[in-house]
Amino acid sequence: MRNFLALVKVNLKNTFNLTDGKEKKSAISKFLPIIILVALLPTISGIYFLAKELLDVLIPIQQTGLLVGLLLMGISVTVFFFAIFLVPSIYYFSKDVETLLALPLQPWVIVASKFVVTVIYEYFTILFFAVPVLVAYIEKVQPAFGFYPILCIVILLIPVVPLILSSILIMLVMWLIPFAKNRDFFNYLSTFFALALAIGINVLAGSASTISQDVLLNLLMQGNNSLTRIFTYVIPNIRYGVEAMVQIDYVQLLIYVGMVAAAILLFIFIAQIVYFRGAIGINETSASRKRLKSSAYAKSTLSGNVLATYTFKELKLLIRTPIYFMNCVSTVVLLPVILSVSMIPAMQSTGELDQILSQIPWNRPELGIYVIGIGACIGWGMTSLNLITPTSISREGTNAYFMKYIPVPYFTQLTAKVLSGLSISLLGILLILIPAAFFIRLPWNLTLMALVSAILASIFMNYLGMIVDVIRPKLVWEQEASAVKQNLNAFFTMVPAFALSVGLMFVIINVSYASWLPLILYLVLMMLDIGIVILTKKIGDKLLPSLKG
Amino acid sequence: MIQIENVSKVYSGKVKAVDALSLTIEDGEIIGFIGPNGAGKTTTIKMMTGILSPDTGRVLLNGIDIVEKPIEAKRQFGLVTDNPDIFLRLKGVEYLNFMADIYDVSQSDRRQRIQKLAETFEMSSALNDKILSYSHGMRQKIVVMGVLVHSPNIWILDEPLTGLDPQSAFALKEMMKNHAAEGKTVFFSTHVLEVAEKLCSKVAIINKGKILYFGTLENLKKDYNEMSLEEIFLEVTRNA
Repeated sequence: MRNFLALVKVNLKNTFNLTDGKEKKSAISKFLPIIILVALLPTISGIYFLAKELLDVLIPIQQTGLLVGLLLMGISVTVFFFAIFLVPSIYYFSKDVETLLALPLQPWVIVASKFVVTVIYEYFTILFFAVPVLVAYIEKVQPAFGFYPILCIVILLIPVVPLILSSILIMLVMWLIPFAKNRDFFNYLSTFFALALAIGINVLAGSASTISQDVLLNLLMQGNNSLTRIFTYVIPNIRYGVEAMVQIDYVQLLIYVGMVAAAILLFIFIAQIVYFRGAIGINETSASRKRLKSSAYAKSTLSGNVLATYTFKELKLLIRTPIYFMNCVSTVVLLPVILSVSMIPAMQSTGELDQILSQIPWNRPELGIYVIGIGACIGWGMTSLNLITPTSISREGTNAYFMKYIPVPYFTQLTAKVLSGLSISLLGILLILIPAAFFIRLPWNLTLMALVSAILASIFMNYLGMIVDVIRPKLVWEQEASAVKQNLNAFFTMVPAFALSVGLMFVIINVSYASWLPLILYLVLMMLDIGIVILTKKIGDKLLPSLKG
Repeated sequence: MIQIENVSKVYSGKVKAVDALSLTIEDGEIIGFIGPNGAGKTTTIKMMTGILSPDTGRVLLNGIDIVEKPIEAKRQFGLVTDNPDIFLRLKGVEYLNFMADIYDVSQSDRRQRIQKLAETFEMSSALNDKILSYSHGMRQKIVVMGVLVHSPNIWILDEPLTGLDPQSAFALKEMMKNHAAEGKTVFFSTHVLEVAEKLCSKVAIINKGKILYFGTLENLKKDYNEMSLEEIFLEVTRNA
């Protein structure tokens, strides 16, 4: 137990307090929490008002438990999916794993200490949507005093079970998939397998929890929070948490806590058995130690242009590092795949949807500006989602000083990083645009218009991400995942991407159509690109020489 | 030729890492840069190579100011840093080819040099593997090869022999001698005083950011009654 506590302490220090405290904080770092809060304020207040409106409907029919259930369910599902990506990097690919394996520590001690840090990290993720909903709930329902201790316990424990589920899933996958000769490939495969399994479980659980309209109506009519019973299937303890909070029932709370405790015991038991089997040798890499054949040598030593060679270097590192691949590339590929798969049933139906789609007047010129707008939103969205440029210097870690001693202008280096981001963004854009165009039967000329605006938007967002990373690179980290997942830079591109998308669509919806509008839209997108390229050069030349090295 | 003129660096407004340091290193010299841990060796090297900007003074590499004309100045030297864990997911040959592209080495030159260096450092069979699969010593070798592939005029090496096996260390030392014999410059930091004693035409002893001695070993020994370099080093740094 003493080892466990010591390890938790060290892990917490490493994860949340990497600086020695002697360094002066920059102005941005000092005000960062305030900046984040201000940036999130529209979303937080949106959630708050939405929750209030929902409660206005639920209070008269005595179903306020539905909101609490939705919140706990939402938190659980979010934690589960985030953890699928986070757990392998923290439990297996972290820099400290090899050191820890050599220490006289029980497997459960290592895993549980990492688990605690991950739970604490998850609190930050869930905080911003849990708080507004709970504030709205307290304001509207005005629960008795006994509610508050229950609330604290339920919320504190809510990420535990989904995190345990994903941890067990990952540990089993790491153990059960037979050893592959190429360890990197094995790492990709296992994480993909875990993800597929997670989606599968979710789909199965979803279908299991589907209840008929009659039953739903019956539950609704009963009042007295009867609807909370539908939250039974995916994560069983949720129902007891909801009941405890809504009915202020300490017995239900005890059952809830008991289930969490049982899950922890099961987790420790499984960790003790399987963790070492997956973790030992995790950093092995295949090496052939074979001399290159002369043809292969000639191919490997072709000379190339600096920008191209730098871009390929970036792409190679991105694709060959499993954690970066999972977080920066696979999300861009998986999202369109999941969307496409969900479209298939709709495409197979020949009824109403077909009729609606066939009635869209694609030849009306004013639709062009909508297509351009939606294209731009896809460009901004898919680019902000892949996290490549806002983490491209951060991913270099303590080796970032390499950028400073090579005879390549900073702007060329930044452009190469942007090009690597742009290539992956373009892949995502095409993967989402082509099936979507096929699905809604968008004519090719309009598809092309959307593609052009998506590319222009993507260029802007990639350079914006680059600027963010130049301003605040995260160079000190313990595991590669920290450079991408625990890096707020991604947030600083997602918020502008969201704001730009909302702003543009607002303008498009409210402006009266003129034939020159598409041209103006393209011009605006191009001007934004030119502006940000100039800005990137200026900021890069100014800030990169003082990059910590 | 390297000219370091009155260079200073203060960290966090308090710690003076390098204090008005001046050195002139002529062509054809091998300079051993020695000093205890935290003496300012790496900070000096970082300022020489553009990784850090000096607070005062200037650094000229073959007459080119590293701050005024950074790209031109960076073409004059090759740097081996004290950390060889870089671009671990690239294959050895990819890393060398990348460095050759960065320094604009012609295709025929790079092919010839990579092959020769791989033979010298016994890395031919490892070139097609990722650097991640290399041992520490092999990583050090590939980083050294990455510098030598573009045949820079000035070699700046931070602890270059750390982790090298005896054959490779010998080969690198011979290369350093030959490089200086061709009228070019080698500047390297080391903790191994025997290496400095055998290899260097001059040594620079640094402590607390100040140069305590810069000159030939013969003169240094004369000043200290023919004591060994180790004894002199301890004496000089103790009294600093």
